[in-house]
Amino acid sequence: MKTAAALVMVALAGCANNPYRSATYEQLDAVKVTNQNCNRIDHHVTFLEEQLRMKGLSTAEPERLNDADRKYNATVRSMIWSLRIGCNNPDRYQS
Amino acid sequence: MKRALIVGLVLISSTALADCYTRSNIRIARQVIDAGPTDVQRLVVPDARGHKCVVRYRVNIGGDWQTAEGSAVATTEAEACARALDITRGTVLAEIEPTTIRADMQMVCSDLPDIRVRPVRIGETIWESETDLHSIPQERKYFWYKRTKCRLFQERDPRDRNLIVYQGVVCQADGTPNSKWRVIDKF
Repeated sequence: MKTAAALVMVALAGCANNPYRSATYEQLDAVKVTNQNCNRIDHHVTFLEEQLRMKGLSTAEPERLNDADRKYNATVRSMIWSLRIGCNNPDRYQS
Repeated sequence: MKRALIVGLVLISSTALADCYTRSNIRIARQVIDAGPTDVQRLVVPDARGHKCVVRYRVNIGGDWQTAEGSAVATTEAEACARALDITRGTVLAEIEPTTIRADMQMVCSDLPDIRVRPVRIGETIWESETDLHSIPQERKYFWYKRTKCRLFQERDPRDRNLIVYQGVVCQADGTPNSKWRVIDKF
């Protein structure tokens, strides 16, 4: 979460144009997030929430998930909160 | 006779529920505090000089939540409680094992809720110190989300010889300074 001060989702940019395409764990895990694209936060969060929905993880309780789903769920939700925290609290990661 | 029995049972059950600590000589002011004071509970009683306020609260010292206590007397209730919450007056309350009780121990027992770290679920309303701080110091800071004060937390779940570490987000349930917190997400 620390590296995710806020976000350029370069790797996801292509996927985001097609909201029905599901991203794999490997694709999402490779995404680098920085603070350059906070003006598109709603777009990115919507895309990530859609990924959870397509996997049936919108209201997931992590204790009930298998390893693969738990990793996927944690990765996507970490990205969502990185966007929300980093973009709305610009001083958070400044030393 | 029947009434006496009922009263007796009620007293026994309330005594059994009361949580007891000993007053330690660990001054909070001499500790490195990672978070808090939070989850403040207070008891105000009349005093010859005005009001006596005893506050019990939680502070995170070295990554562990501890229960602490402070007290002060002042002419007004607000002043007494503000002074009691001054952490330079606070001491850590140490939990006691029944087998270690000695006659010279000064015990503090009360029916105030006993707050401790536990597994939480999304949507639950909790005390802030029922969740552990994040292991990364930079992630322990409060942040704002939808005009609400929030923080990340971590929860450790030892399962099948593995340690699963969840992260989550808790936000203050309302805008008041000492409100409870709601579990917004956990993953």
